[in-house]
Amino acid sequence: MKDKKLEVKNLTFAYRQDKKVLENINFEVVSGEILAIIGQNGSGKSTLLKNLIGLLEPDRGTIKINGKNTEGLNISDLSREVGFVLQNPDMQLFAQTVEEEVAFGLKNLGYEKELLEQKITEALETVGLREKRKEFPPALSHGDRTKVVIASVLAMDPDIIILDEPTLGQDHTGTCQLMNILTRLNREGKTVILVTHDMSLVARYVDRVMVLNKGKIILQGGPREVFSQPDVILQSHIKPPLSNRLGKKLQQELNIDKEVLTIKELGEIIIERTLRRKVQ
Amino acid sequence: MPRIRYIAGDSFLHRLDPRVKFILVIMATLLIFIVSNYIVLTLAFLSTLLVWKLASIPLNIISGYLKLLAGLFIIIIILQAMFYNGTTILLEPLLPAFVPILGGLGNITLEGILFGLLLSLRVLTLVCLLPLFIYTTSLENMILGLVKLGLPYKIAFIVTTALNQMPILQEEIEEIINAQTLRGFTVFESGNFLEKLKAYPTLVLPLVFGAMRRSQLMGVAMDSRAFGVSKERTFITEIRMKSLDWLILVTGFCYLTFLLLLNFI
Repeated sequence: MKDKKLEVKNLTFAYRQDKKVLENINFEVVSGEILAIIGQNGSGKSTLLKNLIGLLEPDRGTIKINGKNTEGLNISDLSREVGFVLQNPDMQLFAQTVEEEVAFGLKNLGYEKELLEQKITEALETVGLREKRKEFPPALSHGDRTKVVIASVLAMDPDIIILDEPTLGQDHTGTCQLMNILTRLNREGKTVILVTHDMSLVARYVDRVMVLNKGKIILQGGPREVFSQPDVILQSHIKPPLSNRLGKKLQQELNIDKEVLTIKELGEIIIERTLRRKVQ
Repeated sequence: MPRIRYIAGDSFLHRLDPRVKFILVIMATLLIFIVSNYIVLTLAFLSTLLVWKLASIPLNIISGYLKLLAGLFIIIIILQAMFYNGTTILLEPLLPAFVPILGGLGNITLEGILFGLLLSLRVLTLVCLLPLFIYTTSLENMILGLVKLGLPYKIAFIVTTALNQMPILQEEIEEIINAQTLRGFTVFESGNFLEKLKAYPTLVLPLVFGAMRRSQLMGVAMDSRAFGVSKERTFITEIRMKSLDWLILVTGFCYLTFLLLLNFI
């Protein structure tokens, strides 16, 4: 059985007393999992993330990271175990060069010079920015700026990486590169939690999905399970990926008996059915 | 820190003509700089608090300012206590007179402490007074008021846009501090005042670049909507001085003159 990396029980939070933003949230994330949190704007996704990393304190309930209750812990203490990439990379770049940026967190954790060098190189290699280590971060492209932030978080070697809409404003290539980095990290043992509105990413890369609606979890399950629930889709204003919608349209025509997630899957089904018809 | 932005409401201050508010705030600011009498300054501070109450702006915002400025006030009082040329010595200098250059300095005087308190009260009154105009005046009314006072539209727009950027900058400062804390930087979380003061320059780079990017985008958006093309600019709303506005302007002027005279008595 896999370790529980994150355990949230009965979490309730309100910015104003009369309006709860999160209500009775319960979920667990196990080691090596990729969890996507989805839901329409204002459903409480970012607030939930801020509670997880200590930027906000829950009104009720408990959050355990690696079995340790986070109540009363400083954000900087949590940063050893949880890395958080905020939505806007520009507010997370404070240094003159890429390598100094990556070194920022490591210096705060008290790494010695030799290990510091090694960690910086490893982190920049992981995100493919080794050649740009001497460059001025704000002058990089949006995609590269996001990668610098991810490298800075990775260098600190947290068990859990949380990302708030990391692909926002990225082109297709940037999105794929970023998701491939996250998938690779996940294979190496990191637990990844991300908030996203991009359902094609959810379909292609994610193990488990949590759907939030008006501060409550309305469904948790695999992407196939989530996209197969029309009432949940309607309630949370999710638009399933094109491949899934196309699969549903062709369901009767091609006798498809499962939820189609990716274009690759749909392509394989179409080829297989077409060949079968030809043989018959 | 409390956000300095318009707080929608229907108080008398919200309804007051923006020109009246602007003129009274400028006059009150000058008065606060001029007066050096403790009683007058205390009266000015209490009057400002009363206006806050009447404008239905939450008073707990002031406690946020106090928290932020407490360190500064302590430094002001300590420096004035040590270096003000007072006569009532409470504590002898730490360095005796025969020590070259610094010898004999650092007498803690009663007058110094009182002057430090006066300066702190002056800063606090100003900090409570100036945002009142922003809290109770919508951006549109602010521009309109400044234009009606004779300021060219472009200048009025620049001034109000700059004021409007304040809450955005505040949010960005918070976001940068959060980002640094999330990477194990403990100073903003648990550091003392001096440590925090030393760490603030690290916020400048992202803040400046963010502001530059935003202003470039704003410039393009304004150009694409024909900003400054026509010299004759129209406004959707019109403002006109009503009798209540005149009454408050005259009353305010009289009260501020009274405080000024009180200072010299």
